[in-house]
Amino acid sequence: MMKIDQLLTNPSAFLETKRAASPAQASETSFSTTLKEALQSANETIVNSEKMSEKIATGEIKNIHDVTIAAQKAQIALQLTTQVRDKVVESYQEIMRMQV
Amino acid sequence: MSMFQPLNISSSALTANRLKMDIISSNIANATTTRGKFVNGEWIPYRRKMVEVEPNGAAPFSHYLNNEMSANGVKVTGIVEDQTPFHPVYDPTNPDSNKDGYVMMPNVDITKEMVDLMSASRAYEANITAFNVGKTMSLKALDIGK
Repeated sequence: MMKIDQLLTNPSAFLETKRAASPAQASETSFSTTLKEALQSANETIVNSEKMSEKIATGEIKNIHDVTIAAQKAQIALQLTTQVRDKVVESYQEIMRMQV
Repeated sequence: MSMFQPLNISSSALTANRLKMDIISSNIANATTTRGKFVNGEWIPYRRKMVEVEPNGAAPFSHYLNNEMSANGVKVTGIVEDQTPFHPVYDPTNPDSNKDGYVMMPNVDITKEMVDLMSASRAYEANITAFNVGKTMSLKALDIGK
């Protein structure tokens, strides 16, 4: 979640690292890598929520709120991912509409 | 994990309050248990239990000197026994009565336990409210620029 968090609070940090990075470093801190990591951590949250649901069903967890909180976190992470996706698609379409 | 920090703080408090409710239930259930522990050949009544809580990440002063303050939720550090004296009750027919006919009853006051239970329950609700507000704020932040 750390990466997605940075994306949310300080999006310019990613732009600057990309701009300042030399070509050798660019592959390490590219936008696609950041996006991939963010997606992975969001996915982890969702997978964790699913695991918690399984555990409550099998009786491994006794605190119901742990499960509902995991579900809420997964929901927020998913919505954030959707928002980022929407923005990416929107900018892609904007570019595709460009007159040549 | 600072994105989920408000949720984690409320989550820790929910867990602590759940444990409090468990301990209070145990106190109520054992309000008349005359055989709590077997020590030196005689039975000692159940002792009322209490939950000790402290802020999560409590550290020595040097820690606060070198680091900025942060909100970290709450954690249970232990369960302690109430050392107030037991209540003697005159009941010669009780198998645990002493030679004068008195039985030592646990130091559990049902009225007090009920009040503690209500307070734990309300604290749980308050933390759920705080959780929901935190979640609403996160979701509202996603609406920026829509």
